Amino acid sequence: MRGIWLHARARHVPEALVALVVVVLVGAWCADALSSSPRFGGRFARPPVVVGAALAGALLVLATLAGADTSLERSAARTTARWRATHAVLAVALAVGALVLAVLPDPWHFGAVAMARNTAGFAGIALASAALLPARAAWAPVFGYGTVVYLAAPKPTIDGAGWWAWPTVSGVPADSGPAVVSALAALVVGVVLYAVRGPVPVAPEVV
Amino acid sequence: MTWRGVGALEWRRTGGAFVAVALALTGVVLFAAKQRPFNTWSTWSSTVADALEFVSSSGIVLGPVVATVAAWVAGRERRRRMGDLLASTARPSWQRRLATSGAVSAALLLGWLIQTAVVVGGVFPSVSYWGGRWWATLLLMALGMLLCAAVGSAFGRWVPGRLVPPALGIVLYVLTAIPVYLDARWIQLVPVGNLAVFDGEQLEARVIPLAAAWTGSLVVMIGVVALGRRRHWRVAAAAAGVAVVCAAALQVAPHLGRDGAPGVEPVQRSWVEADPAAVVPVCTDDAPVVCVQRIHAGFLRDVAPVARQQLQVVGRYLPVDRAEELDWGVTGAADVFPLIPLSGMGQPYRSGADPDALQQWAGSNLSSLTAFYCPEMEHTSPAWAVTVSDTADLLLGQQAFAQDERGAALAARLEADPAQARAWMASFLTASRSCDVPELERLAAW
Repeated sequence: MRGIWLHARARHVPEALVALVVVVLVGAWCADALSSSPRFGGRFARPPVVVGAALAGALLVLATLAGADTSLERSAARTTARWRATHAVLAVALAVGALVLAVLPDPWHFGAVAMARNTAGFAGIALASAALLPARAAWAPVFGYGTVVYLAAPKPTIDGAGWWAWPTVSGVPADSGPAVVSALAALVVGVVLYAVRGPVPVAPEVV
Repeated sequence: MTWRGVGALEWRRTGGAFVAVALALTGVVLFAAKQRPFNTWSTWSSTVADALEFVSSSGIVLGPVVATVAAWVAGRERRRRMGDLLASTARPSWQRRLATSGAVSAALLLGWLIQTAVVVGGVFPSVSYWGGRWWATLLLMALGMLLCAAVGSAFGRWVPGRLVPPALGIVLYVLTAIPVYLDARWIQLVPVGNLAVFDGEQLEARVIPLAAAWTGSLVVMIGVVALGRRRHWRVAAAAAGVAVVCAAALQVAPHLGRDGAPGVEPVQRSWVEADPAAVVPVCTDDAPVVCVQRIHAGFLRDVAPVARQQLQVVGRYLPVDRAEELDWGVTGAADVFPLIPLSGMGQPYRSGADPDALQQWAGSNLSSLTAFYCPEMEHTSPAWAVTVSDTADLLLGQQAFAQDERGAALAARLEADPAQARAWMASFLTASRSCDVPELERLAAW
């Protein structure tokens, strides 16, 4: 247990958990406020939450993927692929499990299902970035993709756009097949890359 | 080293060209994504006001992105452990900070201006009138972006953490977008995404100096605090004072003398007024005369044949001899065949109206003449409403909505008797616009 605690502390897990609680609370408030706003059509007004909160959740997962000195971490005996894969899967599961609480009512229309898919997909991109880029720049791909797709995606999503515009697709099964496949593919690729390669070794940084 | 040399050096060190091009490309992608075939319908317009509104609404996300990039660059000295090295240079520290923040802000502003030019350039071939006070809209948006860059630079410098830049971006998005979506009373104080100036509108003159002073004073305050820390607190305090006064004035001034109860009209509309010069009619030289609003003068050549064709059909039943584009709800003169607004019919980088949009507009235009709604039709369509609607549609050569047999028979009878048809249509238009139900029932049983 002490090893797990030390690992978690070195990866800023306690801070990330506190931040995750804040994200869930803010997300729940925003979802409720948007759903009850007379300007919008009820729970269909939640895309900003299922994109923004999921992006924030993925960034919190990213925060735990590398410690302050990645070169030193790589020299540790226990930093194996299995250890990293377990860390990644648990972090994503925790983020998904917490964030769906923010949009539980009516899970299909930009609710819990879309939130789970988006968190998993964004986390997948974050995991892949952590394996390919230095920790200080690993946020850029997932942040850039999330923001550009959020604005650029056709609304309503047209046929054929779901595979790349998956963060903006509702959770209704009839509409979201390609979106779920893309998000899960991103997650699988991310977990595998991170497990195999680990965080990019760089000199100790001052954050 | 001269200021020019320092500026060029910082431009290179911050990747100024890359930042500018990346932001410009992001804006261009967003613009392209709103056009066919990437979108279900083209929302493109032909006016500068609409193009700037598009840029403004994109700012709701691009503003936080600008802050994120600025925060990332501002945290560079800490990331690379250059603080001690740079502290030993002869220049005062605020000059060094100003050079860095100035370079990245200039790069971000340049990128934003490029993407704005790309979007506005899309309407350029069909622009006939630039719109009232378009420069003010552009100025306020640029100031908003500058403020985002200043906030980003300040946070990047003050707050350590490798995820501070994206976290700042998300927090800024929540603080700017959610109030706009919820139509909060203070949303106009949000520096990006708040200028909803559409076709035929302009910013109110009294709002412009207040809004510019509000955003400008915030830029000065944050800049002074970020660059000079405590040394220039008097300047920062003065800027804060101006900001508070302007914020208070912006909460009151736009609502003075406006009609309508609070809460009925979106808060964003409180900064906007009609632009009289935009709706000045521009007409064809030959008869029958077709007029469009000045902002849509680029469509006149495409619209005139369609309008004349419809004028011919309508002219069989109504004493109209000219067609004129009117705003929704505006009733024209007795001899005028009203044309519904031509907004959203442009084609990016091409002049003239989009053929599909024009076809759709033509159908809607004739339908708008006969369409009506009365409280009695809220939950069900009474038989008299179905009959008169179908009759009117059939007389104008439109497809009958309900395929009502009585309506078809009545239309056939009226077509055979032009004098009766003219009397019926004149009575129908008057009764349908005033919801005179007994008269409409009489017309259904004609």
